[in-house]
Amino acid sequence: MFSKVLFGRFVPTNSVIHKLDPRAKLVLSMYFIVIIFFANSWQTYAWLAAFTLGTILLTKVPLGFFWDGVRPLIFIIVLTVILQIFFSSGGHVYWQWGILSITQFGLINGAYIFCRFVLIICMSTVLTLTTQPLMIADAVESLLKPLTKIKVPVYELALMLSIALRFVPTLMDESQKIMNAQRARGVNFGTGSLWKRVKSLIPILIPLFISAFNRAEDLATAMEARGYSGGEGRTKYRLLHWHTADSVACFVMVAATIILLTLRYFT
Amino acid sequence: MERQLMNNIISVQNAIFSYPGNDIHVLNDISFDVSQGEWVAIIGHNGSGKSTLAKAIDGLLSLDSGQVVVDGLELNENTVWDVRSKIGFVFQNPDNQFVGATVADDVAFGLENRHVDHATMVAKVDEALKLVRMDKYADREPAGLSGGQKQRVALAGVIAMQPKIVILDEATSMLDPQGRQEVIELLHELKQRYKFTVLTITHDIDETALADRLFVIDDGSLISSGEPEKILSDSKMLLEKGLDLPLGEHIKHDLKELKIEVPEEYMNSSQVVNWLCQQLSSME
Repeated sequence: MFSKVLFGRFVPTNSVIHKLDPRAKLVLSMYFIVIIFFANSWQTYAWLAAFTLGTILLTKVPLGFFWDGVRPLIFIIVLTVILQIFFSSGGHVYWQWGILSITQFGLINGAYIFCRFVLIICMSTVLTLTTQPLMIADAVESLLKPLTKIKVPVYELALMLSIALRFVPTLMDESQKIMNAQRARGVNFGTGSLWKRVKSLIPILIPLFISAFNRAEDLATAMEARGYSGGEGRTKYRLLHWHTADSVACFVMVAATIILLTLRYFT
Repeated sequence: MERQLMNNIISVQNAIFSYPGNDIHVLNDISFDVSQGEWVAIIGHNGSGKSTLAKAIDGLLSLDSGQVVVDGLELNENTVWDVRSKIGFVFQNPDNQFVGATVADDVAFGLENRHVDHATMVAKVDEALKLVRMDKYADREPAGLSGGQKQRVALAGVIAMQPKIVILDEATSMLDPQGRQEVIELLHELKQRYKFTVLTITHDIDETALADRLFVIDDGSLISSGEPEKILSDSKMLLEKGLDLPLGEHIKHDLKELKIEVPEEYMNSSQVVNWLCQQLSSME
């Protein structure tokens, strides 16, 4: 049930992309999602698709994993594309019925939206497949560090994030155990009406919450016993290093943007 | 006499504690001293106040009255962090005390709290993981480790800090017999090496036979203390207080019920085997 969760499905292939600094990867993938919205023609989309494909090939991760990333969202993609096709107007009209129409621009917009979705999903999948969740948490902490100046508790947020990540598998195991225990006592999950199904979640959720409280208390005691007295002034065991490769990656992204803008404005 | 000449590293005087909203004293006027380098085991039935006592020594609970002195420092609000830095604590549940996202991160957690610089930290983490033979697992996440391995990581976290005192609060109770054996043997090895003082709280009566001194706690009071051999051979008291007998004593106790004469002094299981062999061969 939980193995389908894509988040944190790190695939270690030790590629060039894997070795990049997580900060670089996080910022660049967000940046890429922004520049996708600058694309407005076949040439620009073709360029971005080629760029994404190049990145995917560099990760050396089997292509199946990317399909796994797209698959859960396919319903949303298809729905959006269909709405776009039927409700856009302009250009040559191929078919019309009431307010529904299939037009030239509608088809083109639909295709663009489809490309946008796939590109965004692929790029964010590149990030999650090549970066351990822990590294992403480190990157978030490091990137948020300037906010400590305006009294945002960045260290505490980072600690919470890293503890949350560390407890995800533990709590998943636990919920599986509770589910099985409740099944053994006759609780039936996933059958009956919606109301019945929601009600059958109570015997999982309440024990899970209570055990999370107990865990939190134990963990807090253990942390205190080990000298944790707040985030301020702690040294760090895991350090992030910015290498030449990371600067190169940034340059490549800048170059890609320049090509994109050239294609957009000069063709 | 000899004990008094040695340094007292932990000294608890008239400790009284009850949980808020509850009149029952969980610790009821407990006093004892532990000397430097000693291995003390504390036994008692569930709810007898063992864990509360351990937490009070580490300053995780504040006593209603009484005094705790650890390595010359009197425990109070100002000294609590200094006291904690002298004590390494391993708790019962291996999952709930694992703070770091990976093994190495968890071992480093205490060092990070103490502002150790990065280079020293890396060296100490490596060394501690080697000592507990977990160095191959340094980058593993806790979800992939067994309970015994997690407790070894917890021990590594303690060793990296080089504390003067190590407290184990039922640290082996959630492990299988093999994992328990491993953790206890490891602790012995580390104690030989670093000469720290050990305070173990346990339900495993066989484990207590290894201690230098044994405390029996019942309803928040220290009812008996002394060498394990002496206390463990007092089967009447142990059974009265709801505790188990060690295997050797158990056999002796059952033989006594069958009206077979047995020696009074404490015997571990192999001594009992030897004694039985002797008896049987002398019968022939």
